[in-house]
Amino acid sequence: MTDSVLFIMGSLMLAVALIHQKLDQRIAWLIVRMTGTKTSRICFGISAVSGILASFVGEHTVAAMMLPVGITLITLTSKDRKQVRNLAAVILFSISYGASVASIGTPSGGARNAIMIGYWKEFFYDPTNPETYKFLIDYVTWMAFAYPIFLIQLPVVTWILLSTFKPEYSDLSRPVAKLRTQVEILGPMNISNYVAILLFIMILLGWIFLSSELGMGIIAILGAAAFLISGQVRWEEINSGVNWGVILLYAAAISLGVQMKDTGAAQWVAENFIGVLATIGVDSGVGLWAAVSVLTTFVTNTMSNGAAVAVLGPITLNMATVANESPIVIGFITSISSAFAYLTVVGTPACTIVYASGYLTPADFLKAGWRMVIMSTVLMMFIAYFYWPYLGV
Amino acid sequence: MASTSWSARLGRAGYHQLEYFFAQLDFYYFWEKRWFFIAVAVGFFMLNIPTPEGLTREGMIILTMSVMATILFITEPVPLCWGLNRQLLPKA
Repeated sequence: MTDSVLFIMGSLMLAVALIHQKLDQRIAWLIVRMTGTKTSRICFGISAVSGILASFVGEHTVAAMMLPVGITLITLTSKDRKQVRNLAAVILFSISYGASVASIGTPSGGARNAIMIGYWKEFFYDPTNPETYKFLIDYVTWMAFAYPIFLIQLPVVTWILLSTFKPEYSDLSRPVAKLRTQVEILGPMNISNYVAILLFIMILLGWIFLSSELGMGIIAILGAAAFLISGQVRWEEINSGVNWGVILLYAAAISLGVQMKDTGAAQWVAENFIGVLATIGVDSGVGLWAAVSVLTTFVTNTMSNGAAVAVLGPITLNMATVANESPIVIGFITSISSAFAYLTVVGTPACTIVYASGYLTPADFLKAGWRMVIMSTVLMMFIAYFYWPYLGV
Repeated sequence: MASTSWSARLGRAGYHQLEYFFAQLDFYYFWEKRWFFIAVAVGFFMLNIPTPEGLTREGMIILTMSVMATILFITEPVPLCWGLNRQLLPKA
């Protein structure tokens, strides 16, 4: 079992432990205390909190934690769905798009990031050749490449959502007052909540400082063990909460990807694809980056983003080799573009979860999604061209 | 009372078995799982065409498996996008 698979498994176990803390109303209150009662500020606050959490714990966890926050604010505004249709769209998309744009930020943001790190190591790392050590991408290196993209996107997401769906209410004072009453009824945070937060901060520090020696998977599993030992979550809850089949499927997809490389199939597909791209003059440089991004965006909107990277990774990395481009740049572009699944309900778990609330239609995803895709793609290309060269790729 | 011959009894029993078999057949299953069968058919087709130039036989087999996996990932007879079980996620 590779470190990537252990990492995906440990992250999902941690996700179950965090969801069981039931911190949603406290998070909502925390956001409102920081932002005030203006709708636009609350939406930005929701995106920012969803994003910052999702960048570390994965978007499905955050969508599951934050959906009750969004629903609380919407239903406290009005029980009549027609009266809050646009407000609901803005709040719910702030959660799902906030989490999606953030999930590229760190390796623990999504399974696909861990899969790409695994591919770099499997395909290019040679312990006897010091020049290949740069292909061992650790937690902090990943953040240096990807976190700025998330931070720049954050305010733009709110702007796009507010200009696409004009909310019916510009101020949410009434629902905020009701929320305050609910939080007061809950009382102060208990010791169990504090222990959970402390453990999670320790896991984050472990990923940041120890992942290059221990591997991210070991730290994630140790973290899950710590949650179990401290009694924050029971094994039965983890056992029933984690979809174990998905872990096996990712393991199988990674094995398939490695075999694609070893048998030369990925190389063959890459050469033929580059041949096709050459006919339209985009077989190298920024043209190739854009082609890889468009291909990944198309594929990721039809399937889960982890699966998209597992399938496309070996091909795009080989395309980089054929075209004499940096595999690190092409790998990042593949992995980051796989987060641009804004157009469909099934593209990311975050979109599926907010869709399940019943406030959104598939047409809403298209309405806001195309703006998001263009913004994200342009921004990523901009960062790749002007910022990544400073990181030595 | 005239007893029926053993062959007629056997025939009747066989007919009942056949009727029972058809009653159990659920053609909706084939429609529901159509993408699985389409993926299998595509795999069978790819393995039986000549291997393209520049690709090894092993490469062709892995490529076939990847194409089949891609079809299954897109059409999701297996719910790959959910890392957490649905009962854990908030209800609408």
